[in-house]
Amino acid sequence: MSSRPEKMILTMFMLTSGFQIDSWRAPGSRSEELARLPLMRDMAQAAEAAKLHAVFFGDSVDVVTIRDNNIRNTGLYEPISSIGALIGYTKNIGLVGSLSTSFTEPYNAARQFAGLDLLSDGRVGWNIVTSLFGGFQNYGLDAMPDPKDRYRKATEFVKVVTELWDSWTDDTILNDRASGQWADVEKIHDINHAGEFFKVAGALNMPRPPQGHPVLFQAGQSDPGVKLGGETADVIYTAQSNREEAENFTRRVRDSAAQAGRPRDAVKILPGVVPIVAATRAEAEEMSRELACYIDMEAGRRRYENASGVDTSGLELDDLIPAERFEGSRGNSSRWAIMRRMAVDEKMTLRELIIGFARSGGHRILVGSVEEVADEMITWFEAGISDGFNLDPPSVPEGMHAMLDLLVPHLQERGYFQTEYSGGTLRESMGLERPASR
Amino acid sequence: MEPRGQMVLTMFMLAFGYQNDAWRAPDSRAEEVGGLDMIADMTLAAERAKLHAVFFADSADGNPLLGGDNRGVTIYEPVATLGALAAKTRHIGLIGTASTTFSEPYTVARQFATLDNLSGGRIGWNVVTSFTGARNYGLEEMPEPAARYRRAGEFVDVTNQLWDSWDRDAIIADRERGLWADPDRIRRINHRGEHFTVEGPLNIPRPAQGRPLIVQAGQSEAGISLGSSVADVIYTMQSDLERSKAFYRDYKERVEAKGRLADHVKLLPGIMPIVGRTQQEAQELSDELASYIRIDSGRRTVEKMMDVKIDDLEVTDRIPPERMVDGPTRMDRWRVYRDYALEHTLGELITELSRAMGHRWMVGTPGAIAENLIEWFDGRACDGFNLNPPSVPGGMNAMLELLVPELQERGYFQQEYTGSTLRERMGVQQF
Repeated sequence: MSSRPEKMILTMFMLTSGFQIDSWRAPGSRSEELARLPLMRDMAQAAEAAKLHAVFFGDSVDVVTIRDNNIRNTGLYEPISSIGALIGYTKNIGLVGSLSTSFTEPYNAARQFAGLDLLSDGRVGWNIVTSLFGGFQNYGLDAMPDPKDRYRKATEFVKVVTELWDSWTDDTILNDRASGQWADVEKIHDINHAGEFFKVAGALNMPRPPQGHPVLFQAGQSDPGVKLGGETADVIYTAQSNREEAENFTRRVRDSAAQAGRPRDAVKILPGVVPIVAATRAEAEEMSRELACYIDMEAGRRRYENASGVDTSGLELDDLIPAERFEGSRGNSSRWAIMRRMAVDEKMTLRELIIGFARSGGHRILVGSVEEVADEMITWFEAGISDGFNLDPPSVPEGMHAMLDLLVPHLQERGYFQTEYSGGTLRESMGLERPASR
Repeated sequence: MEPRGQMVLTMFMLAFGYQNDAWRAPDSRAEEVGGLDMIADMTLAAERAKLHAVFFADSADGNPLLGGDNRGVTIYEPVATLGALAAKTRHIGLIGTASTTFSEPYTVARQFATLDNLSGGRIGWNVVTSFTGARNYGLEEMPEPAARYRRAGEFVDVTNQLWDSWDRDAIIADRERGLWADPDRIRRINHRGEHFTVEGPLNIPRPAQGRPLIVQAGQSEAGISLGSSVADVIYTMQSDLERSKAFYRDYKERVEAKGRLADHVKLLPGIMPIVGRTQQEAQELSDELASYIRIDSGRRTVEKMMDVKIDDLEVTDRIPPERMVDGPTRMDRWRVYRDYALEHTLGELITELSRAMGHRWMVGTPGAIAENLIEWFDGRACDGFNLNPPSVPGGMNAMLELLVPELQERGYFQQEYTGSTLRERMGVQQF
């Protein structure tokens, strides 16, 4: 049975230009090397040296944010090929990549992740996304499909992919030189799937992945997102900056898992955190101020308006946003509710909101000494709000190294994080069950 | 005869060996197939031999495996695998297949652009149209070849435009102004065609080679038309020297007629060399490999490949000619083997299909095989070869450690890597 781990699960978001927007403007950043190998390799190897469970690539399939000069999470590293390369440069760490269910075929997705899992001996995870923010214009569509349709399609997509992974039994490969039978073809089964969106005969033309199924990650906070997560995901990434809301979210996910007939704790929940840490609180605050000064406030205001749907014209940076400006803005996502709460209930100034948005995207920002930041993380972990965290490096390499070289060892010293790799698959290291072979 | 430069040599990456059932050899690494170590070792062996590239084929269904064809072309998914090999190697080119029939150009452009950037410009894309696999992609049957090739032509047009959508100097990393990429140097493509509507631009910087190397195979009229328009390397099946010379001459004329330099398109026939230090050693290896061929799965391969019923035939029989009916969906390979089957027994056809699949195979000493390859090269029947390893690692090592050095000693193959990208090393167009 799966159970809550005694130690945290920690992964790192591979944001090669830093999680805080514009943090690449720091003199020590390696922004000249973005999209090249050495930067990505060094980050993954640093995370492996810190014994993190995995590194994680987001993705996008359009250039809209780059055009807006926001290179935080732009898809500069296409995940399948990038994870392939990192398999060759790492030994133990898990490698997780996003792939949208909106623009590709399940047979291709099943093959690419099966290939990665085979090559890595079971270190790969797939973050299932439905392309919330766009990309349709590059795939022959006039608009993004409705969220409900996207999630229905995603649900069917994942079902097809997992059936394809299961189309070979674990004992299909005989490797019998004497008879000349490499595979027992009787154990390779067509899936004959015919659904609303896909018709796939199967079987897959590759062996069952070492993990059975690569670890399934998902990150949706809407009702259809939580339903998909509860039914299918092994790990959930989530944006939570408020304890009460985080508790509610965790309850919803556990309920959703239970409704799907799974143990309540079958799904590992990893909120994103942005730790801006240093040996002392004063140093951390200094680093935070320095990072904030890289934010282009004009562009930041535009991005904040785009994300929240709120008109800030006429407001000074030190003003509060009047509550009525949120009325009528298009609040279709859970992030919008967070943005409203911060502006209206927590009375943050426009400047603070712009900085907060540039740096968190709804994730929790923790500025402080190593002890203070660790305390905050441990509090949530001990309370059962999360099973660990997805660490967002505030800047690269400086903010990332503070996080990996100071914070993680401190968590290890206090017994909350692994000091060695267990040597098994990613699934095993996260305390997840291996799906049984048919 | 005017002197020529040096050959282009690549290796077909088949972890089970090119001859069907060769994995049954005691020294094969069949237990490891699917994992990284053995293909990394194969690629490193090819890199030690200074080969220009290794090449992964692909297919969109499991039918060959289910039919007992254990060449295993599908076990290594090419994009994932090229990524891993980019990390394990320094100089050798890495060519992978992606189908234009079952993918989207934006996805393929992104994957190959990233591979090219991560590998420092060592990536090639083998552009194929799938002739099987429909039922894994929601189709009842495959589109007609003409339709598939029209889609392929438009597909490559779109990927080229996407790779060109970032200027070489688009990344300015201007910390002062807070501008990482200059938006004026990244352009939409606004493509609208018969099959694809793609706005662009790509969200990945221009590939290290400008465009990854384009490889194509296919000897139908539609295939030649596509290849001569867009490809840098052509994989081809040629079993006869004179016909290969004629094909080569015609092909280069087609290339020039399209306003391209004939020398910018490299024609590489496949060949499987079974090499031994002596003729006797080579023959022994050949006999040993032949002993692994399974007649039952060989029969299934014949049935599938030739689309005929042979249940009632003995291996000493010939397939009655009336059972093999030509038609517009037949591949070149089908006609090659139809002709072969008219003059050989079923058993001979099974061995031939296990070994050749339309390509030549030779048994001999390094000197004898090298002389033959040089005759083809100097006679302008080809620009080099795609080497099919008869078995892995035995037959492959003999090929790389005996035959390739022989070609190097005779001045027909590079002794060191020069240039910085695969395109430079191959001597094809630079972007």
